[in-house]
Amino acid sequence: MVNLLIVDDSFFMRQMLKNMLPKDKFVVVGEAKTGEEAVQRYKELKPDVVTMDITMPDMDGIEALKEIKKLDSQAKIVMVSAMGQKPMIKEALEAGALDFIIKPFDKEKALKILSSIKK
Amino acid sequence: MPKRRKGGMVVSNDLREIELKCIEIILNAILETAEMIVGSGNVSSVLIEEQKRKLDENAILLGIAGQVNGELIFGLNETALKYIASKMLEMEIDEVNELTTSSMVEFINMISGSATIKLVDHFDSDKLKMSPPLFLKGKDMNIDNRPDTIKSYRVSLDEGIHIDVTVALIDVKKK
Repeated sequence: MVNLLIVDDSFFMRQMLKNMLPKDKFVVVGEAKTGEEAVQRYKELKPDVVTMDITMPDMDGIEALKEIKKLDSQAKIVMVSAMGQKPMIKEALEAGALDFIIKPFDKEKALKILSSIKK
Repeated sequence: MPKRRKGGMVVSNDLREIELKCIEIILNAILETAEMIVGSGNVSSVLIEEQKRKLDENAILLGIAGQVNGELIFGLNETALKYIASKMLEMEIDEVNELTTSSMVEFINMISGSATIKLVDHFDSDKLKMSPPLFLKGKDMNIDNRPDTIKSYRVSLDEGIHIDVTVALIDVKKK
C-alpha cells in the first residue's frame, strides 16, 4: 500500500483525487490546503508520495516542494497543477519533483504515473 | 501612425493589436478547456457587447499580472453553475454546496492555467501570472473598472447554458 498526502487548496480536487485512487493500492493519509500546511503534514505523516498543487495561499507548491526536499531529499512528489507552462515544469523538475500532471488530466494517465512510483 | 490615448499615455495602434491578440488567446483557452470538460461539441462564443456591466448571480474573478495586466470576469447563473459542476463531478447536481462551488472554481483554475500556458508561449516570457480564482455570489453585481480594452463574450456550453466572460485589459507589454 502507498501512503499518499494530497496537497491542493481546492476541495473538489482533493475529493476527486481521493475518489480516483484504488483503495487496494493507495491510502490517503492526509490532506493539506496550503504549502505551509503541506510541509507540516509531511513532517508529521512521512507519506510515501505527495501530490502537490502549485497555486495555493500562503506558500505555493513549488516553494513547498523545495522545503520538503530540504527536510527529506528522498521525498517523492508529483506536481498536479493547471499551471503547466514550460518554465514552471522545468523549475519543479529541477527542484526534485518526480513528475508533472497538468489539469485537466486523464484519470487513467494520472493513475499510471502515481502507480509507477516505487515506495 | 495613428495613436490613441490610454491611461494618460499615448500608445500606438500596434499595442491595440497586441491586446486583441491577447483576448483571442484567452478566449481560445476558455473554449478549449470548456470543450474538454463539457464535451458537448456545442461550445461556441459570440461577442455580446463591448462593455458588459451587469453580472449574473455568480461571478469568478481572475487577475492577470506581468506581461499582460488586467482581469477576467466570469458571470454565470445557477443553472450554468450546476451544469458545469455536474460535468466536473460526473454526477447529477441538485443543489449548490461547497463541492459544486469548488468544482466551478477549479474549472476556472483550469482555464487560467491553459490561458497562462498560451500567453507565456506567445510572449516567450515567464513574467506572467494569474491570481487564484475569487468566487463571488450576490445580486445586482456590476463591473466598475474602466480600462481601455474591455470586451465581453457569451460562451455557450450547451442548449440554454452559457457563461459571460469579460476580458478587461489595462496594458500589454510588447514582446
